Amino acid sequence: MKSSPLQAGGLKPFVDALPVPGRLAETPMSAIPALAPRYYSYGTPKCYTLREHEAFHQFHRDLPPTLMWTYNGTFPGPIIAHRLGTPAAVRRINDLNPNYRGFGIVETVLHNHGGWQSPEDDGWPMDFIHPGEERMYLIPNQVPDNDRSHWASTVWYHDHVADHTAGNVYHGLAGMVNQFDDVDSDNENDTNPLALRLPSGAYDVPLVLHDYILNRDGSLYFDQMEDAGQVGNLFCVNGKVQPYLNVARRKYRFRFLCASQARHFRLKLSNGASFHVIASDGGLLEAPVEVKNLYIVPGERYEIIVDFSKFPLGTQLALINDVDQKDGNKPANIGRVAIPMMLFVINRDAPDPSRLPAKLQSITPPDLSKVVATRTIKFHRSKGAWMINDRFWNPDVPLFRCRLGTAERWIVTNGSGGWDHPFHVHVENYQVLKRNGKTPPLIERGRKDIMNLAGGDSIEIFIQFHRYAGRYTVHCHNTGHEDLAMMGWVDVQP
Amino acid sequence: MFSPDDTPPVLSPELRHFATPTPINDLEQVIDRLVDISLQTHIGATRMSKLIGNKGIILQLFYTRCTGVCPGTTAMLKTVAKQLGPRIGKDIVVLSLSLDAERETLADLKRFAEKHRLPTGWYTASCSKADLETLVRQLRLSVTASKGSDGTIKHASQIVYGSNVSGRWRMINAELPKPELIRDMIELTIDGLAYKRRR
Repeated sequence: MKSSPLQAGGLKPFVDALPVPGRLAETPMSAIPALAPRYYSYGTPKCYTLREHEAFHQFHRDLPPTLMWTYNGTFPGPIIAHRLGTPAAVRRINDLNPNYRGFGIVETVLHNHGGWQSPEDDGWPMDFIHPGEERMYLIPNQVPDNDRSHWASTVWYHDHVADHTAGNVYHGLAGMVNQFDDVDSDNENDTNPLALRLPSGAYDVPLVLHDYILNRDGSLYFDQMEDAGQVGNLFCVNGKVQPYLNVARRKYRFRFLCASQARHFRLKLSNGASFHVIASDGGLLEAPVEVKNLYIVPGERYEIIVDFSKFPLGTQLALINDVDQKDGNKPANIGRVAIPMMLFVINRDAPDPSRLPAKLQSITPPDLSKVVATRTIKFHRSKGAWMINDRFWNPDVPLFRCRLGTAERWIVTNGSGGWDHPFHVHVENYQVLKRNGKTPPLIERGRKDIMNLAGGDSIEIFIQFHRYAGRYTVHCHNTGHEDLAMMGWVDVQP
Repeated sequence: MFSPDDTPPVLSPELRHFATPTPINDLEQVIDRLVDISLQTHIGATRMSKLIGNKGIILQLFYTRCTGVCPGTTAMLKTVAKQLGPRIGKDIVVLSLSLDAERETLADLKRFAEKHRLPTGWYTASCSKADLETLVRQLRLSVTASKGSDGTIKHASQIVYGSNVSGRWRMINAELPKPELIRDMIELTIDGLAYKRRR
């Protein structure tokens, strides 16, 4: 154990290379139990295996290894690359230590966050499996109503067990999913005229943001009694404390996922250079949006293009977070701090066949004529606890009932100035009609499944129930709040 | 997982102000076992560790004179205890610990237990003010004496449940509408592998 650097004042930034999670290899059909007929509903699926088990992970070169709960031994978990039109069957094996002692719970749920799948495959909080058990999930990789606008997006998978999601995700049970199709085709050399030819391969980089607190022996510090949600002092990207990434003088696509429990980030480059936001939770925006900073909250995803060819060889750029957050409630201030998240080092030239098209796609606008109901969903604190519409989570009683094939307008509010709540809906994406009575900013006009509600905020969304009847979970994605019952569900009836 | 380059960069001068190392926090240990305080229960003196033993515990912070949230919490817990049936006392204990260390008497605790016909395995208890402060700090709960002279104590209606054996601790608001859900969350957290009631 190297203890001297810690005694000398802490963990130095930019000493570990950014690890990039590898893509999960397909599991041969012959290596998994026979699939029930429903797994062939959309054609023959590709099969994948996620095995939950303990493994050591090193957050920083000067820290002892940390025992994590992982998918397939890595933290974050491997990337699952889906192709729209090709269904997938995901086998999940719970191989966690049944004798584990401490925070979290080894009974686990797998939620495909942002995916469009039946509620039974979505990760209902009480649909857990014990160590030694396994189950299959069907990920259809279909597009609702043959919508001609394109739906490929950055999704993620993580634990979602009732009462213990925060602890289990903090243990490491999280990974990213990249969806592709003929437009966003995972090939910057694609000769298909439909293809956007966005940066691909080594130039399409996931950046999973976390904040952690570690004890000196490398073990995780987690306060099971923190009801605001825990924020950490170690800023991590892909599981490393403030790593560096050597980059070429060309365009890169970065996929941000905020997998923190409660921490918000506003990201910018240290030299103030602009970059382009190309996608949000539910896929590509209509056009790239040039920005100088990007705000992201727990559960949310954004994708950006950074063109490093604008800078000379040898340039170093830090990715900065300027949100100062002291506790899980909400940011203390924005713009008065500059916390380095990672470092880009431009160390080589490289050919760049990729493109940043002026137009990315046409998003089908909300068809308000389909709206059959307008509802209010209120996130608030009452009686010393987190509530939605004056209620705590109850797996037996829905917040309300909706009808399959219809659309609704939801007005979602956070009445308090004291707390922020990232609002998340399972199964279906939604589109934001208004934020605080105004047209939302450009980067919020794509399909979303997370929207932050700061104190006093009100958003108006359009949501359609296309194909799947059942329980759609709705909750705050500050998982500390979620575990303390700030969760409900909508019963979508056939 | 691959790392494209394992040679750390020499930081350029204009970025050196970002090179400040992050200290490791030496935070107070988070809850693992409930602090082992001395208790005066309605049936005798004991310590927290002895009371719990290898069982799970449901902990209610209350006081007998409370006319605020406590009556509702007690009523909910009685329903939960009824649903847990013979498990109470056998593998789960309920501890209603008074927040009113200065006024609560043994007679008060006994009277409360008798009035509510608490089952075997459900204890009413008090402890010293110092021990109570230690426990409340460990549980991160907010408890404040009223500024007025009426002796009321402001506190949330959270109940804490967990196990010294598993090291798992959670809390839940006793005003949840369904005692079945409270029972489920308690059993899921305390029982782990043995819990089979998926919903």
